Amino acid sequence: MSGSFDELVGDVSDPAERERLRRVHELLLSVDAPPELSPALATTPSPQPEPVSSSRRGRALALLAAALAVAAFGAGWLAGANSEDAEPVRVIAMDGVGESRGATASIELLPEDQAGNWPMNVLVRGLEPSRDRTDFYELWLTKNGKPVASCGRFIVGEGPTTVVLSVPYGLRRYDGWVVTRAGSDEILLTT
Amino acid sequence: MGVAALSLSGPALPRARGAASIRAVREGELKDGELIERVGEGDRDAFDELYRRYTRPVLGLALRRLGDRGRAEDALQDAFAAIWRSASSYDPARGQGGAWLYTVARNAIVDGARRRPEPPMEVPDEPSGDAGPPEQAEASWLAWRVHSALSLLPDHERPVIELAYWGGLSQSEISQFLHVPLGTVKTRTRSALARLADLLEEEL
Repeated sequence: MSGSFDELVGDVSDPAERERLRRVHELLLSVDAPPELSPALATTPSPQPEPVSSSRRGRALALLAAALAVAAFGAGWLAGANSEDAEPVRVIAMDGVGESRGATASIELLPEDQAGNWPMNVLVRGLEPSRDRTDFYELWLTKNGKPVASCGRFIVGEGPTTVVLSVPYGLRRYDGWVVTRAGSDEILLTT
Repeated sequence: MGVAALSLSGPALPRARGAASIRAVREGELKDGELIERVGEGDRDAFDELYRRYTRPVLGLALRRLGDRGRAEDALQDAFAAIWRSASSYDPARGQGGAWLYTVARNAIVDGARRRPEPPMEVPDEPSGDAGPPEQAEASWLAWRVHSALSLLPDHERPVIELAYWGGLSQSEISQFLHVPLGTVKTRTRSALARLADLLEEEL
């Protein structure tokens, strides 16, 4: 975090209250950030009160649909996934949509590292430059067209911007990529 | 997508001893246990409210157990399905609603991981899903409690805490990001910390 406890709470005249706030401060520092919620999680899921057999049948159909989507997405880069040099195993092109029509991006997916991460070089052109560092863009993996897994955030400057990102996800679970901007769910770039 | 923006408010929770000064709840809002009992009677609105309060704690629990966003989101669905199915068995005399939800969600996540192990090609070093060492269990419970408490902060207070502690922003940067005066950021931060101290009294 940025800043000290004193900066955060300012003057607290009551020593007991100050100590109580300090313990909360330390507790917050001791835990990871709560996860970001993708738009796909914005609505309550079906509680699935059906019998188990029906639920399993539905899940099997969902898995079959997911498998078809995954197969379409994954076939391209699987062939090169075992490459051990730094050459991309796949290059994914993205195009601007809506107000970002005309912008482009390319994702050079590098070979999976030994720990299971997928490093990538992302080159972006034509997006509006970020106003400051809170005005970031974010690359997402999608499932059924919805952004569900963040791959990282980046600031865009004047001219082409290149960033290096890395994700730990099993990429075959997803069916595409999109880019959004801070504070909005609008998709600006998509595969 | 920045800071998640669940609409938040809180159930009636005990006031802290001593210097606690900020009321953590609005009148008339239901405690977790009361919501669970209503879910047990098939109340979808109560289920929606529980989902709103506990999406991030459950997803965080699943991410820590599974380490993969896609699998964690699947596990989230399993967990809330289990909560819906099991709610009628909840007995408030045996513990608080938050602890019951933690247990049901954790068991659903572990069971789901066992039923649907990830193919080795996709996740080579899969966590077992079994209960870990006591330290891990303690850390998991603490994160659950903190994330749950965060979800009970008012909408205008939660972002300042998340941006300060996990967004790496200074108070001035938060002021700029949220388009509110710096003094307001400081007031909200102090208020949120006091409210969290009330909500997390048992952990302090």
